[in-house]
Amino acid sequence: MKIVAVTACPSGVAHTYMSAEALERAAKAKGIIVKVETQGSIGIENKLTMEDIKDADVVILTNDIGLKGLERFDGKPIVKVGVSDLVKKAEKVVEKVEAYINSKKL
Amino acid sequence: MENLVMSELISKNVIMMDLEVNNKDEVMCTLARSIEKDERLNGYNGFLKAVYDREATFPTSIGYGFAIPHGKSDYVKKSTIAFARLKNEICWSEDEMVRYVFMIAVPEKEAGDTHLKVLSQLSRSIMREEFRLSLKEAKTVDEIMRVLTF
Repeated sequence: MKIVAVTACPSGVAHTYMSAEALERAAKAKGIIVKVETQGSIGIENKLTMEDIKDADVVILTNDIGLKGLERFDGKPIVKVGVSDLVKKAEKVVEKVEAYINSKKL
Repeated sequence: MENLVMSELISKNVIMMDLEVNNKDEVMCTLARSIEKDERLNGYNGFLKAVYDREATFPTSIGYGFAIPHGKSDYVKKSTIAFARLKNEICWSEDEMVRYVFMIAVPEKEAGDTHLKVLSQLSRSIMREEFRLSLKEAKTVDEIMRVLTF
């Protein structure tokens, strides 16, 4: 299973990176491959390539401010989540996403 | 090199151990004052307003007893990370109590990426249990400095 995600937050200083870290940790703990693009005050880092996106089972996007390059995800299953929720409850988000993917595979 | 950059962002003057405050406003003011005293602001009120405006979007408590109020503003002269460990936990938002507070100040137009990179790394570090534990267990300002600069 593979998750790709894009995170961003109002000031682009803290939550963008905290949520990326939280998601990476939660996914890796479950043996899920994960790649998180951050769109913060530094600019875009760890940019998702078309190859990354093609292989992904699901795309997680934070929904607090507008994200760049959303057209890349056309046709992919998308889960939107508040950046603060991702920081605090990354494990739960990953569990829900995992359950959703597994239910589709049955 | 990252340690050098980090040492530009903090100083002993903006780290407080076992600070006695009664509420969120008192922590906010105390930390902002310490940043101002360290000559890192162009305006105390303007900076504090930026922090409160950001806080109004959604509270910066992140669980684990930590909060990271931050303001990006022209009233900031030098990028700064201030830290306070509170004597007693305080109510930060409707459902969260906080005892560890990082206040981050960033100029509206941060000249280079180096400071922002270090701030992003700090944000990532806060999500690590070992890092939070070291901050909890530190006994002196020097120990906190060491945790933050390594």
